[in-house]
Amino acid sequence: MKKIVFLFALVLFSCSEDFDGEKVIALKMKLVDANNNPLSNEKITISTLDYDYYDEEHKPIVKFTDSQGLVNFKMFQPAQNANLTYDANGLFLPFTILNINALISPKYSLDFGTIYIFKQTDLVDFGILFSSSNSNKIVMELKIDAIKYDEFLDASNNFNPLYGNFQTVYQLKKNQNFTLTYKVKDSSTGNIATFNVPLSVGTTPSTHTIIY
Amino acid sequence: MNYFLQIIGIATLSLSTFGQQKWIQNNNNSDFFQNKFQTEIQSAPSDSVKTKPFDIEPSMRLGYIKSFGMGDNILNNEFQNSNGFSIIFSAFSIYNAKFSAGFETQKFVEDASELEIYSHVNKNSYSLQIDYTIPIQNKFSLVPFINYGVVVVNFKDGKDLLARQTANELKIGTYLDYQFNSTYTAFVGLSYTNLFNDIQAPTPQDKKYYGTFQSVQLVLGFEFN
Repeated sequence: MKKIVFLFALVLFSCSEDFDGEKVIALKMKLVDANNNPLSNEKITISTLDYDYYDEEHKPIVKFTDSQGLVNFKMFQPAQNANLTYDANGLFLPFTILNINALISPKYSLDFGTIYIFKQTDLVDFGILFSSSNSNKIVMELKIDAIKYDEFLDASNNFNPLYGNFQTVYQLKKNQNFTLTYKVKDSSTGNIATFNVPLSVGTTPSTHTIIY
Repeated sequence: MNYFLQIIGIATLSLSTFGQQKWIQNNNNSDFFQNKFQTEIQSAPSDSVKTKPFDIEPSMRLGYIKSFGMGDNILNNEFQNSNGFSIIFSAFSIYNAKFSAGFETQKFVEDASELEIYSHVNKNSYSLQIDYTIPIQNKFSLVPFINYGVVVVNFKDGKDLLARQTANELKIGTYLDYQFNSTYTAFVGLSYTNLFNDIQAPTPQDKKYYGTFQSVQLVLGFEFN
């Protein structure tokens, strides 16, 4: 009898719903190419796969963009982690946004805004190098506000999980201006200074060296 | 109107019963009247006169359910009711009002689901009910009822539970009973049901769409006393 009760409890507590049926969210996004042209009939999927050992992947939600490049629908809010994936059709590059629940507003809106879909030829490599003049100083947190491509992006912190908050190599949309923001900490004084550097990329790979 | 006539008849019969013996004794030659009274007293429905305000009266209704959804809501627009089953246990009555507790389950099969991830919805209700028996003619009775239930709505894909709601449901309707004998009664029921749930959603329209369900419900079954 104890075994039966234990197995029943195990089944009961190991079952968790993929969605919270008491909450509905409105999901919205627009897919455009590098030239801001809307992309129609592009496939996105929302999967509720959790990386928990016991969890399993269920049937994903599949939606296609309309003629305006829009995806707009309502769904129950994912109960745990959910990922949004753009399935590349061979021409464009795929991407996955992890932990999309982090983007849900208090008004139950999950608005991704405009998402750029790139071909490899739309992108140019950009790198950040470092040159230290003072051994007491360290560079903390790098951030750029450029239109960029990340195959993976964690919505909970807006970082590419492959690099975290110290990404030094990027694939940027060609021909754009952007700002590089970074912080430098002086360990001798404890002071933290923030720097904003306006930069631009053209059509060929480039780097920027931070001298600190 | 039949109901009032029946009540008047019952009241008359009840009063007549007390004076029946005396009246008959004073009219020994009136065999015709004696036989007529006896026949009428025997055919009076047993439920019609309650001598005790509180009565232990166990019974069970088993029924097959078919719902006809209404309104602009997810269950009505994206799923189709296939079938359902209900079981209601009555334990006691107070002045002809019977108090019951029940379980009801219904299945809604995916029909035009926007997301296409659900295969079906199971709607399970745990309810309390009060009904009142009104004899109408011979073996027929009308049993209006009001039922309040806590409803668990499970959105499923095969065996996998994808989403769950816990809602409230109010049901108002009536059974039409046909009593075969003191043990078996067949019934057909018709009711209006309103499921409501205060979910969180972007707009009031979404709250209504995902958190409510209205239907007319037909139930066919048997009552065992």
